[in-house]
Amino acid sequence: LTTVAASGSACPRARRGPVRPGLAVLAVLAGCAPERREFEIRAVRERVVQGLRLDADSEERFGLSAGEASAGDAASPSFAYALPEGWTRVPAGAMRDLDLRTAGGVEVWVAKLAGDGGGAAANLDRWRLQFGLAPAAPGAVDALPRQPLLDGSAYRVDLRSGDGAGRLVGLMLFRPAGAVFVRMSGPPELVERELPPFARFVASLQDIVGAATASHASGRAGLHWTAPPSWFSLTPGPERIAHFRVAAEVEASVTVLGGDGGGLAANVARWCSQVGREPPPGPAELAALPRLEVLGVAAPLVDLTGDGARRGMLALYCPLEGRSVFLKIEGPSDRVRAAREDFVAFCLSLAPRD
Amino acid sequence: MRRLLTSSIAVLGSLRLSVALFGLLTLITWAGTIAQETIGLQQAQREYFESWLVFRRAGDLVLPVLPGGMSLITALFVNLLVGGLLRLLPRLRARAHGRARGLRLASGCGVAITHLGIAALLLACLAKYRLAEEGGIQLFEGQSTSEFVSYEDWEIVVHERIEAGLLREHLVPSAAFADRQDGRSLRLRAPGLPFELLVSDFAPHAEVRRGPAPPGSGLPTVDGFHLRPLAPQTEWERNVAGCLVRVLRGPDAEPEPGILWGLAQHPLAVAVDGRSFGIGLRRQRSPLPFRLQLDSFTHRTWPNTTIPREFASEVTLLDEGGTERRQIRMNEPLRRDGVVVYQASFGPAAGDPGGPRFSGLSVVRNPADAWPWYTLYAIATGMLLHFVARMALFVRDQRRALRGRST
Repeated sequence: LTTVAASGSACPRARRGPVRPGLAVLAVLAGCAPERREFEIRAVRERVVQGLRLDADSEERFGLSAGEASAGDAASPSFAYALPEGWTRVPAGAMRDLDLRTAGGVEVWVAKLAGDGGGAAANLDRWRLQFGLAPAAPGAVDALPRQPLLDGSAYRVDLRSGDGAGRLVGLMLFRPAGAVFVRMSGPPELVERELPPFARFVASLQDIVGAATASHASGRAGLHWTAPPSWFSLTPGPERIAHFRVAAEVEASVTVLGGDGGGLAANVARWCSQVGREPPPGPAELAALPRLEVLGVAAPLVDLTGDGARRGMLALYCPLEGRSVFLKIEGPSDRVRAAREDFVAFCLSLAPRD
Repeated sequence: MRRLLTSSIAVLGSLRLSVALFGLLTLITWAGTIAQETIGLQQAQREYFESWLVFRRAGDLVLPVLPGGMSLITALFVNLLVGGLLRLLPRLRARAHGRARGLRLASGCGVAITHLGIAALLLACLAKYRLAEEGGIQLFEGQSTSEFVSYEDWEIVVHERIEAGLLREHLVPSAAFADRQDGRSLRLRAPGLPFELLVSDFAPHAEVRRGPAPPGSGLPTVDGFHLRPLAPQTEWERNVAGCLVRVLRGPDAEPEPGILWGLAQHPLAVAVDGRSFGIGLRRQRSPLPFRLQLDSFTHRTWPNTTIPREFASEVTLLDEGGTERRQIRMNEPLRRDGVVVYQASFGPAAGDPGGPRFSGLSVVRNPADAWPWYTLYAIATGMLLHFVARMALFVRDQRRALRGRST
């Protein structure tokens, strides 16, 4: 599919044939300019991809994945906490809200980021990379144990470096008010010794700033909604104005498109194809769909969780004046069915912003 | 001149050369195996087996110390062809008549077929080296995939949003840009793309750091971040590549710099005339000719040990023809549609003791997968022909000798 269309250099004549000796000598003496090659891209593929943003800035692209340059000034902490005995606070490094050291020199830090801070999988991979480990297997995040942190349930990560010289114990919490990362790392024996004080420190941690905004009620694009407390807020996109992780492999979203957004029939046909359900329902079945009163319209609720299929989806289509709002929850059928009540409540919470 | 040519051909087809080549092959196999300990599997493969010469540094000098696998295999290939021809020609010219001539000819043909078979086996190795794609899949029970991910190759992807959730991807394989270092660059264009790209400073292992690039590094700082090349890891699959890219919107427009990195969360955003594009760097993905779903994974150890006794994946293959249930076990790979899927590993990996369990499958798409079978049939046929003909000649000579004694 792909070929090198043309291969060139700053000295193309050398390839084309004889050159005058004088010119050749001059070229050698002057040295060739940096070589430049050309390539025509011919391999093209179309695929359905969820969650990939084409409008992210550098901070969002690299975020915490980028290494910190140097320790900065100690910023005012956003957190209240009980400092374990023997621990000291040091100037916080870039992107950190709180930087601590244990008596043995083990590093402990807390960072709070807007949105999902790059997400759980990316941060897990970043930590693994720092510890000389290969990226985690797909779905590894969903299987991580959980631990209470602040007002939520955080993923707990426990890694040992490939050479056995280091250990990392970290927590990742994702909530509407932003993501919070707590990490302790150092020599394995010292980290092991610090686990009890670390647990006490985590239990004592309080988010002074985030507590005021920790509600799941949120809004964008002139709309307002309240998400169920168990849903994790993920980074939204330009059209997807809200994005949540509902459960393992289950995600919900609110998308706003211009006009009728393609209409009900075309969207239902596309959803059916996405979850492997063919053929799509006909006009009579579409007319018979159950409806929810959302944003002043009787919005049809499409349920694609039956028929024993593995993938399932619930979707609500709200055609408004000049734009359409889509609310969707998608994932394994059984888990989507289990979240139906929450999804309906979420749909009903949608209201115009005052 | 003619004598020189004749003696050169004799040397090229000689048994002594064959023995010397096999000896050297044994030597580089041993040296390459030892070297894996320090430089890793892929680097040892490249330095010892995929090279024409093996170099070693002595002070400031870099000297060739051994012939590489490529030169030895090429020499063996020539040796086999010339040797087979040299052994066939005398039999074609033999003055014997009747049955004896036929048997000698059959014996010579058998030797030639055997030589050609072994040479074809070497060609199959070359075809696999040049054409095969290798990668891996990691699946938890219930998960499925229709592509595999390269262990070491990267690709640049230009994403274009077609509609919500649906993207068009323009793909650039690593072979096109992996050598774009030290001032060399690659200009990329594609039909339908309203901009061109200039790729440079590819690093097989790199990290992105916050803050200005160190003075003298020659690398730009983009939006407060810079790319920092790192020494490649011994195990290449642990490398995270990075490179610089400049977006060229037109002949007069100023190039817009960007950083591509294997661990970036989102692609580099480019908006042109209301169209949204993203440029990313990721491990090369190759499509499978079917969808592979892991139904269950079995891992058994020998009693009271952690030594694996069996690990196997029960999978379902889904394609337009329907579904098919298959099992992939240690040493019993799945072969279908030119793809071989091996049971390679399982998780959780070391360092992740509390992690979930998954099945690791290794995938090879090798257009020459069946060639070794054909060559083995050819070799067996050639040897059979040679031995039967030689046996018949021996029996005939013995009978003649007995007859002579009796008269």
